[in-house]
Amino acid sequence: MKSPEEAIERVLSALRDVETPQGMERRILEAAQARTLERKGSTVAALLGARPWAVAVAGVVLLSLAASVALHRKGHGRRESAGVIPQPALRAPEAPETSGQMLIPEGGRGALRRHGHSGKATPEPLSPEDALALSEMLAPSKPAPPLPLTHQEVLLAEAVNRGGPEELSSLRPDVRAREMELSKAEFHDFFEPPIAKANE
Amino acid sequence: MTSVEGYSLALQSSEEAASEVDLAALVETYSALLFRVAHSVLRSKTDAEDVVQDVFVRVLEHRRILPEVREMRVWLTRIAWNLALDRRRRIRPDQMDEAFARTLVAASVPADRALDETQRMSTVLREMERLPKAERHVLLLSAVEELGTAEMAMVLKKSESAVRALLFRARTRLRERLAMGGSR
Repeated sequence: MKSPEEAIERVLSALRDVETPQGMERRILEAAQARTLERKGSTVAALLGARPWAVAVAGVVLLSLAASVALHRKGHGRRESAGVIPQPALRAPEAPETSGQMLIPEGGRGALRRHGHSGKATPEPLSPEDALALSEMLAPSKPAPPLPLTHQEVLLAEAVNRGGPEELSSLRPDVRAREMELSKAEFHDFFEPPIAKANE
Repeated sequence: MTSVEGYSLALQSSEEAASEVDLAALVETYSALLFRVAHSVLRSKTDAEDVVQDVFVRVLEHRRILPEVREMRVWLTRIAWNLALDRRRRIRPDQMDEAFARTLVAASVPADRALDETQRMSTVLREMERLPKAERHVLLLSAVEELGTAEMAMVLKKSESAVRALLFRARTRLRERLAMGGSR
């Protein structure tokens, strides 16, 4: 057996002197070019080919997001219109001939709202129910009326307010003025003796 | 040498202008070196070529950072080295080594002697694989003549003195094991 050093050197020189395969550079460039082109078109194609349901779901999500954003902006713009209450552009049905049937314009109520704001489009006839709903929808919001007192609250108010003159005077200005006059007279009478007696 | 000018134009026209990667020039300059680096690990020409292809695909993928690469040769060698090591984990290296050992024996040698030589070469390759990882890596990279100690140190992320010491220890250990008959 020859020396180990020679065997090692033979293996290492074989590794060192290995020749590249014929046409390797061209194959590498072809592969790189193919992968580059593939990568450009593969992102969408892979999604469409491998997971069409994912594309469909993503499309639905995007559409719903876009719709919600558009609605939000529309509502926000209406609220910000400096307190000007938008009048319903579409009045109650003016076409009695067609009032018997529901006439919803193409595109639904969103389309109606768009027509109302543009001011250019001609209003289309609406059924009375839809006109009422539309006017209610476009009506300005008002603060809710105060709720009546509950029974317990009424009892509590009666216990606290017993109807004395001072309480009444605090509530009614004329009674209060009369009370003030009376009080002032009593004070005057008490601290200042009558002039006639002093002369005597 | 393969003519690659057409590919240079085609690739550059299809990439963004910012990339400025002359892939054909890179392939022409470094493919042989990278092939030898990969082959030293894999001992299979087909797999080594696949690794080199992967290297240049990575280059295209990271073409934006190419202007920041200072040591292109070392950077590419490191990519090829890591890809080759990764590929070797996934294949059956024994079969590769057997085939490579057969190529080391001259065809003119008689059959009985050729078998003996093949077994001997297989033993050397097997003992190389049994070396500690750091020593084995330094020994394999030292087989690539184009790489100096400094470049090997950068590829393996070690100091030059460590590379020299590891190479000395690897050769000594391998020699001793082969002298004792191998596969102990």
